[in-house]
Formats: sequence, C-alpha cells, structure tokens
Amino acid sequence: MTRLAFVLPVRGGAGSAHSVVQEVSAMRDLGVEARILVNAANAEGFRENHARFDWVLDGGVGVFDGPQELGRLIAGEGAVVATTASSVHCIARAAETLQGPAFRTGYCVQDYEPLFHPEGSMEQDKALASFSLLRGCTYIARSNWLAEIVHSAHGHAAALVVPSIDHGLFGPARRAEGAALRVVAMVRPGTPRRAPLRTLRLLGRLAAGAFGPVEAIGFGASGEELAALGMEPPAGVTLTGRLSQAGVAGLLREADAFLDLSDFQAFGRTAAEAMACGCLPLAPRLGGTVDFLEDGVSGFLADTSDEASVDAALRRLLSLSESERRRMRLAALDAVADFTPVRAAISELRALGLG
Amino acid sequence: MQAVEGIGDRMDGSTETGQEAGDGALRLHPDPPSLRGWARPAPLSPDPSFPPEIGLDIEGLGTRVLTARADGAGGFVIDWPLPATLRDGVPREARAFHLVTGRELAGSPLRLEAGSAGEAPAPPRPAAAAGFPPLSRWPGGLAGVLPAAMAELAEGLQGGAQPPAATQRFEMVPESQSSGPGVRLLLDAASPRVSLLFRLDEVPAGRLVVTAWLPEATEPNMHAVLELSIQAREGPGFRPLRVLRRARAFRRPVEIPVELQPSETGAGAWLAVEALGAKGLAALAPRAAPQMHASPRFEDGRLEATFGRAETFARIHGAAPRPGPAPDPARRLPAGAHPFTQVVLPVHNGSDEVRACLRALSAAATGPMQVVVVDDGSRDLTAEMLREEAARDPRIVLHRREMNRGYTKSINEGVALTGADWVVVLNSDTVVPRGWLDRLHAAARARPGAGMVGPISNAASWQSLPAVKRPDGSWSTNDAIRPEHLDRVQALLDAATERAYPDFPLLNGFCTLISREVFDRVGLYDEEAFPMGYGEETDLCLRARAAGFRLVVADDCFVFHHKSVSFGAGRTELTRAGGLEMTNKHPGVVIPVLERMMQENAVLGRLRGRLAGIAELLAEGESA
Repeated sequence: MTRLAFVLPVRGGAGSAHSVVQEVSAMRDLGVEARILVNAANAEGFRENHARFDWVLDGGVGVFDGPQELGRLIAGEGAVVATTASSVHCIARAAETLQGPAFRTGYCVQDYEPLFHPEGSMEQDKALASFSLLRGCTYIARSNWLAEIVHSAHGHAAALVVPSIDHGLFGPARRAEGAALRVVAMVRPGTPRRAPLRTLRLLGRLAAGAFGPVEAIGFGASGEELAALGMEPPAGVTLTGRLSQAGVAGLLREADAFLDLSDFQAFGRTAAEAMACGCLPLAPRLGGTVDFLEDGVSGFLADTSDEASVDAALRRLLSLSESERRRMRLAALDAVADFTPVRAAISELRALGLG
Repeated sequence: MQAVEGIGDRMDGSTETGQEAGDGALRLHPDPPSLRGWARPAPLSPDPSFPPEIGLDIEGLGTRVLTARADGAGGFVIDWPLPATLRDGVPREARAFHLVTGRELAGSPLRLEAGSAGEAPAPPRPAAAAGFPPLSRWPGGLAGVLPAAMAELAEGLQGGAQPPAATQRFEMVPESQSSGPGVRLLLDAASPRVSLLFRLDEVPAGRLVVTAWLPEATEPNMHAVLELSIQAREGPGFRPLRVLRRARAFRRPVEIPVELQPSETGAGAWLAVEALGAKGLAALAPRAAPQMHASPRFEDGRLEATFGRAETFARIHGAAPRPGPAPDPARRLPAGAHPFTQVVLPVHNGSDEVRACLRALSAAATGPMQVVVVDDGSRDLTAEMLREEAARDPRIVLHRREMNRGYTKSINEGVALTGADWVVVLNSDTVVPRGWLDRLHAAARARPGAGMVGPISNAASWQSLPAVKRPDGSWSTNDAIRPEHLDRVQALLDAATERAYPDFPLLNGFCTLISREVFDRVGLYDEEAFPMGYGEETDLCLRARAAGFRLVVADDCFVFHHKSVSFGAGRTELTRAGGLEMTNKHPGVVIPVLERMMQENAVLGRLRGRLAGIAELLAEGESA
C-alpha cells in the first residue's frame, strides 16, 4: 500500500490546515495510507480542531518531538510532503538523521511565505531557504499565481493541483425573500496583508449607508480584540468574533456578498468557500483568485489598493438585479463545484508520482 | 576634501573665476557623494565635440579615467558618483588631471574622506551607534585570541563562551555607513552558549534592532537559537534580568527587533546576545529601530520590499533575457577597438605555467591593456620569474605580498589596484589567444547591460567544449586540447561559432571580464565567506544578476585552462566549505536550477555538436 505523510506542524483550525486534512481524508478513502505528522506542542490542539474526522483520533496523526522522532516516523514512508516553510526545515533535519532515506519529498506550497516576513529578516530567510533545502522535491501549488512565483523566484516547476472545498459544510441555502442585503467581510487584525484597516473602513461606510441599505458584518475578530490592538470598531457593524469553520459556512450561506480586501491572495480559499455557498465574492485581483473567479461573471475582482476600484466593484455587486444575482450565484457555484477533496487528492497523488 | 574657493562649477550653475582658462575643475559634493565639475576638450583636438577624459589618481587605488559628457550647451561636465570602494571611511588623496594636456584640474588635489565632502556636513552617523559606547578602545587590539571565558573585548563590549570551547578569536567589524560597529567571535569548538554583551549606559528605552549572524558555515542552512536578554553586572560576571526574546541566527546577518523598558537601560545594564549551540557569533552594536514606512500600494507596508526581494530572486533564477539579433559573424573586429582593460592575475607558485600565461598575455594584446600580477607570497622561483617578466614588458605590473593571504583577498587587492572601466580576473594557469580582449569586449557590446563576460575553454565547467563532464560525472578538462593547439582551436571556433553571446546565470571564474560598474554596485568578492576561493565567483555572479546585470558567454573566444595549479591544496574540503557558505549566504537560490539553465543552453549545445570531433581535427593537424 502506498504510504504518504504530510508534515503539518500547526495547531490547525485555519483554512489551509482544513484543506490538508480533508485531502488526507480523501486519500485514505482512496486506499492510500496517508497520515498527518504534527509536532508535539501542537498535537492536542490539532486533534481538537479536527476531531470530526475519525482517523484523526484513530492512528491517522503521528506526533513528533524533534528531528530524531520525525526521522523515525518518516523512515518507512513512500513520500513525505511539507505543507509550510517550517515543515520543510523539519523534514530536512529529520532526513539528516537517516541513512539514505528512500522516500521522495514534496512541498505543498499553500502560500508564498517569504512575503509574510520583513525583507531581510530571519523568518524570511527561513522561508526562502525552504525552496532550496529538499533536493529532488516535487512542488505543488493550488493556483497559477503561486506556481508562477515559485517558478520565477526559485526555478522550480510547480505542479498545479485541484483545490478542495468541504462541500458538506460549504453549500448553498435558500435565502428569505425580500431580506436586506447582507455583506460579510473577513477581519484579521493581526495580519496586515489581510488589510484589516481597509476592511474596517469599508464596513463602516457600508453600515453608514454609503452603498444603500446594507447589513454589514465582520468575522474573525471581536470589537474587544480590535480595540485591544488600537483599531476602532466601526459604528453599525456587527462583529461576530472568531468563528469555527462551520460558523463561517453558516454566515456565508446567509450573506449576499463576501468582501476580501487583502493586499493579495495566493489562492483565495474563503472567496471560493463563499462561492460554494452561493455568496458573491469581491476579491483582490492580485494573486490566485483569478483562476476560479471570473470578474463580472462569478463574482468581482478589484485592485484592493485602489479605493475607487473597490467602490466601483462593490457598487456593481450591490446593484445587481434579482435575475442578475441569481445568474451570478449559479456561475459562482458552478465555478467551484469541482473543487472536491477527492479530485484534489487524485491530483496531488499524480503530481507526486503516486497516482 | 578641501573646500576649493572660487572654482567654477558649471554643474551648480555658478560663474567661473580666474581659473576659467584652465582645463577644468572638480569638487566633491556630499549628497550623494560624487565628484562634479567640468572639463575642456584638448586644445588641439581634431574633434572638439569629443568628450575630454580626466585621469584621477587615487592614493593607494591607482588611476581611474572619467569621461566627461556634453552638457548640451557646448561644454562638458563630469558627475561621478563615488563608488562603494571609496566610501569605506578611509581618507584618500586624489589628483585629477586632463589626460591629454596632463595639467592638473582646479580643485586638485582632492581629499576623499570617510564618505564626506569637504566642509559639507558629514552624513549622520547611523542611529545604530548613537548612545552606545564607541567601541573605539580595543584593549587586546582589533583582533586577537583569548581564553573562552568572559572577557572585555572593547570598552562596553564583553564576549565569552562556555566549555568545551577553550579559546575565542575576536575580530572587530568596523562601523560602516549603514551600521554601527560590531564584533565577530570564532571559537575552537562548538559551545552550548556563546555570549556577546553590549553595555546600555546611555541607551534610551524603546525599540532597538540587533543584527546578529553566525560567522562560519558548518552545515547547510545552519541556524542556532539566539537569546536576547537584559543582564546586570555582578562582580566579574553577569546576572540575567529578563529574556527579551528568542530568535534564530543564520550565516547571513538578520535583524532582530527588541523593546527595552525605561527601567532596563542606564548604568549597569547590558544587552546580551547569545547563541545556543554554535561555533561562534557575530553581532553589531544595537541601534534604534527604523520607522516602518507606509506603502502607497499595500496596507502591509512590508510587502513592497518583500515583493521586491521576490523580483530579485526572479532575476537570478529567471530564464535569460531574450537575446537580440546576433551581430554579423563575418564582421571583422578592428584591432585596438577595445577600451583600456586591466587584467588581474593572482599568482601563488606555479612558475612555468605562470610564465606561459604572461608571455601569452603580452603577445595576445591588440589594444590598451595592463596586467596587474598579485603575487600572493609565492615561495619558489616564481617570485624571481615574475620580476623578470615585469622587467621584460612594462605593461606587466607586479604587486607582491610576502605572506599568502588566500585567493580571494588576492583578487580583491588586485581589483582595488585597478582603475579601468573593465577588469579581467584571470587564473594564472591559462593561455589566451591573440585578440581575446577584442572578442570579450565584442560580447559585452553586443549585450546591453552585460556586467560580466566569460570565454569558452577546455576546462571551465559549463563553458567547456567539446565535453562538459567526464563519464564519471566530474568536470572534463578535455585533455585532447593542449596549450600548443590554442591558435588552431581558436580558428576552429571562429568557423563554428554563431557569435550568439548567450546569457548565462553563472560564469566560471577562471577568466571573467567584469565591468567596473559591477564592483561599484555590488562590491568586491566576498573574502570573508570564501577566503580560499571555491565559491567567490558564483557569489559575485549571483549578486550581479540580482542587481540586474547580464552575464554573457563570448562563444567566439577560447582561453586555454590548465586547471588548478595554484591555490590547489585540500580541494575537497574547500569545495565543501564553499558550498556551505553559498547555501547559507543565498538562502532560496537553487544552484541546480541554474546548472540546468546552463546545461540546456542551445547555443553552446550546437557549438559542442559542431566541435565534437575537435580531438581528431587537432590530431590530423599534428600528423600533417
């Protein structure tokens, strides 16, 4: 049986971790002995966050503490796949403890992490080094933008794989007739590239009626969290705080529009999940969202650094007639309908030469 | 520099004075540091529109030639930004003279001092050093070896390491334009804790940045846990008060921000920078954290710079720019067409081959050139032979060091002695053909933006032909080609070449024509990371590519290479050390990708195909 391990040294709960977990789940259903390896410090939180998958609590998750233990865990694998820059370093260190490891390596590049850290910082150097540590590594990307940046910056031809959405969670629901337009936005106050200030400004203007009668909701942070970080919670905006994956799905199902005003999005998972719920996205043009979101057909794209561009796209979105909105919802649902964990798993196995 | 009163300075629009009748004038401007002034064409020049050239004799650094440019109003102006090599804090005197008349320009001699200009205000000292001890008094000298126990290295700076390290070698890192002073600590053995402590007597509370790195590569992408803490002096030792943060130190310097509370500065407080499990540690004196600049494009103000770094990597790894139309292969290169070029030839023993190299250089010249031989402490008859050769040809200049300092220091010293716009760094086990500089310069001219040009050879890794590698995977030296075949091989290459001048991501360092602009913009070879070679040329190529220069192969120029007569001992270990330094210095650069680009180069592939039978052709020539 093909053995495959994804090294995921995180607590879980975020979109990218969900993606890996649901794809590993699909691989296991396909008969592959796939599992996830988590570092000891995050193991408990990871199990809690992903307890709805039986295999997470039943031998599908290995725990390591240091390179020696990771080396022992991966020694017999057919392939070992990194999922973050730090996991690449973990694998490289673990491989040094083994004599002539036989497994092949992969790096599922979920975002271009050198962009996350200040230029010239140690964190950025570690993220950059993650593209030169594993010899013969297969690089996997979920968007053309990611594949291109990996190729142009490091010369690696990254295989493009199918993204996955948990359609069991993210699906359309019947909306009440005549309900007020509801716009939701993701507010990530601790992540500047997700543009929390820009998002809060726009939510505030929405709540103040600058775009007509609209209900404005922000998720990802509570008013107290914003205030603690010196950010002014805008008047009239409902802030839900942090939500579980199911909570986000419920919110998107009942919303008409989802705003992602990030500086860029390597893939744009939440926009894709919004589309799967029939909620029309407005997403950044810079990045990988353009792969699945056709501007004006299945949602809207904007130059998020330009307020006029965002305003224009939002006005177009909010001024759609009922029939136009229905047509666009169908196009959005159709665009991401094929993003299934099984297709994603198959495409990854093929990219790794295991399919 | 001296302020020169009454000098006409057309760049400034000021009026000229009684010195107007001279050949020109120069003065140093502070911001950006540059020499500015004006010059007249030679009085008897047949073409008064031809820009005059000014010679600049710089103390200890040879002569540079500055070419004036037309100012659009019938005159000629000079505006020469001081290169990095002249902004190193060393005061130097420079004399400027008209190259045709030989007369000194008004304002000369100039004093180039510490990057400042005359009476103009000196650039502000880096915020770094403000408030910190000057580190100007080094009781044990600027470098030395001490027991590994905690010891004073300079005023306000302590260093030491826990056993099993027994001795520590410290080297001062001088203050520069962009950073404060610092120290490099190298141990005889890895230590569980290596410490550097900076006194905080006059430091205001607030955000500081500490720059730290590991001074020697001992493994790929090595890093060590770094602990930054506030400590108090207690007797001969120190007592930790608060750990500020934990970070990681790498081979490449990284900046680590820390925040000091008001109670943590002042008399008796020290900032400890400690590496856990390392064979050394280097750090600069802490400095005030720079302000984060808002970005007009992104809410995350860091993204402009981080996307910029990604673009730098794309320049290194990206497919080579599309070549323009190749020049006519039949075009004859006019003799003497190339600009003045200085050849830096590092020598360490190897008498016969070095003599052959020098004789070939003399015989091959078709234009203005000079050979700067850097004799790096040759022990045998080489030194005597070099003196004979220098006496034989005045274009050969000898620069001798009594002690062998290593290959990279040699070539840097040689480059620092040159002043020409183009320099060739050449191994002394080479033989060049007649017209070789014409060919290298033709390649540079054919590819705008070219910063470095390398020739074809029998033994120059991916520039080799007919074979690149031997069957066992090692680099081929194509032994069928011998020095006496050089003219014949060059003739065969003339017939086979496309003169396509392909772009390469790296050039073999055995023979490289390098533009002065490359050194000015990216600096010299890195003699700290690659003291004995084995990576210094790859490092320079990567920095040049990152800066946007093109690297070009002159596919119509063949230079014979014996390969490795000098600096040849302990190659395996040196190659490994160089590889580790490269990995650590350029994280994220994938050398195999660059190798693949060279392997896939179609121009050289076709050339190798055409010359695959060169051994037979040479044998036929010999039998005939």
